[in-house]
Amino acid sequence: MLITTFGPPSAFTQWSMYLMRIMTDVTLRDVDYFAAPTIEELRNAWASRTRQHVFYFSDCPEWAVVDVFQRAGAPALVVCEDAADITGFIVRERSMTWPWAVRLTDQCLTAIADLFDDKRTLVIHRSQRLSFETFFRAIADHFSIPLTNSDLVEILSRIDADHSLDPSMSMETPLLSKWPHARREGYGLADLATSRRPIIEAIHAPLREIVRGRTVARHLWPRELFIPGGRPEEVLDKPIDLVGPARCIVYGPYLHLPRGTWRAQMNFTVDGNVSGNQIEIDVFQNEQTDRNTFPLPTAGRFAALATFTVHDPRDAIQIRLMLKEGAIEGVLDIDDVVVERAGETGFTAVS
Amino acid sequence: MSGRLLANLRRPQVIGAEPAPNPRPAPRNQLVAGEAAAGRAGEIRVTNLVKDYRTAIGTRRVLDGISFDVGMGEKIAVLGRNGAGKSTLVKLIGGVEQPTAGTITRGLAMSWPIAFSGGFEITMSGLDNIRFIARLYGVPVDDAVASVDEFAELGRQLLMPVMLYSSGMRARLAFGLTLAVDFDCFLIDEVIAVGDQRFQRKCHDELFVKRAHCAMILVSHDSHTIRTYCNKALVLKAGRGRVFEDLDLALAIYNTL
Repeated sequence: MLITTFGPPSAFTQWSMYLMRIMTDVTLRDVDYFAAPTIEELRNAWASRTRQHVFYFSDCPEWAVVDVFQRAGAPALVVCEDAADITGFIVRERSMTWPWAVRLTDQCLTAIADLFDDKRTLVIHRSQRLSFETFFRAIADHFSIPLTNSDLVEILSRIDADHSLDPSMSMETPLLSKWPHARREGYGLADLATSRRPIIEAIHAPLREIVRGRTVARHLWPRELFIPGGRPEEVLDKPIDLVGPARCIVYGPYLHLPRGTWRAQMNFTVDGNVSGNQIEIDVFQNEQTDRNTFPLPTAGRFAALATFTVHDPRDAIQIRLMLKEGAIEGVLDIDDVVVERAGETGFTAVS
Repeated sequence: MSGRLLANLRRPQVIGAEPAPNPRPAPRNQLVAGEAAAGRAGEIRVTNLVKDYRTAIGTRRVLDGISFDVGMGEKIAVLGRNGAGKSTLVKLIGGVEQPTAGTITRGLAMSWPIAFSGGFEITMSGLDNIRFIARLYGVPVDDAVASVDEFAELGRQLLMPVMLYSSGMRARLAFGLTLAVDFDCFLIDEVIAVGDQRFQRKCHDELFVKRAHCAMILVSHDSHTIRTYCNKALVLKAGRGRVFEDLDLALAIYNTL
């Protein structure tokens, strides 16, 4: 039997996987557990399996892995919670700064975007507030795992040797006591400065749609997710002084998009560029996918366009803005980047 | 020497024109704000300098709102690609041409461009040219002759008309003449040394060692020379200019203009 599971790095995912391991230990017994985010690792793990059953998990699979499981028609489980709670958990558990936690949340949810609207995928969301019994029964039904009442009692006793857990009890209460970095649902970002929340929300809003199984045709990438050239630890929250040699003046946002062809429109304002310059915009996703060079106007509000195709949602998208000549004056302010779907990808699946 | 090239005085002298009809604002954070034309003694002050040339296809603005100052002992490099306006700036500062707008305040005795030999009266001998310049600048004639003779190493050839000099001899005479006058500020357009290797070392010592206390406006493409002798740089781009005290930054910009 193949138990295929996915979920972003969050308290609910870790808790769910912990529960499922105990469940498969009790019900299936002879199980190989492996986590393989790439097709190469999946091949190696598959080749070295020694047991009858396989429990597979990935928090951020490459597209080829998702494609393999989807084409196999195998049932899959995705456990998930709200993007804000995922980001908050990553910040606390991994001591990551909020921009990188947002990016990781974005990467992990976008990587499994295709699974959310797949009929063979069971999506369990933390907001459902399932009881232990409902959780285990739903999974058992989905994967056709035999689960008896005595199995359920055995599973709960292994989770808590004090026998304090009841099958009808919500999974939520033990989660908060067992996972120190977990927070009450909806409070994942309570520790973060309120000024950052609208920026994070701009990234999380389309992710919520993806989790609902909907297609998102428009993303707004705020400038704060871009990085000023030469200052990788900073967020772009003020205009860029153009004075300096030819260089990359801004790059980022290292966000992710579902497969397909996209058009990015970078909106920016220029002022005081009297002596002129050339600007190059390119899109980089493992390789340079689009590049345009144009004269930078003296002043005003402008947009630069780039079209690119996403083959693997796991790969971060980098838009780079490069000053082609040294500058003695002028400022450039990135307003935002609007990314809209321009078409579906024509690439075939890896078999 | 041309009359304009020799027009330098020890008291502050303002050469300029009315403000340009449409001057554009100077680059922000410039070290010198373009305001009053009045400069103080002991510095060269260039304020909102504009230079237009009329061409067959219309007016071309070569310099656009250039401002900077050079105090006694300061050495400023002028950097820019070909056509950026460096030579025009030198001509304006040297008094060869008049600005379209803006002012140049000369509070220092300013040289003509080092090794500039275009101002000789070629029918006169080298010696007569030295005497003429010495009288014009109020330098004791015997001192000037002795100084140029020692430096230029032309010997009896000083008695020959300059028209018979080779370009190298003219350059040595011009260099020597520049050094014979007690200038406070030297205007250097690329040429900082002439002659063979030994003579170039001599030029270098005279200019940068013995006259280290003097101000210099140095147009150069040589980053080593700039890093060695200058304490700030004016970078010109498309007629616009900005002064940098950070020479590494100025050179980095210049290298990618």
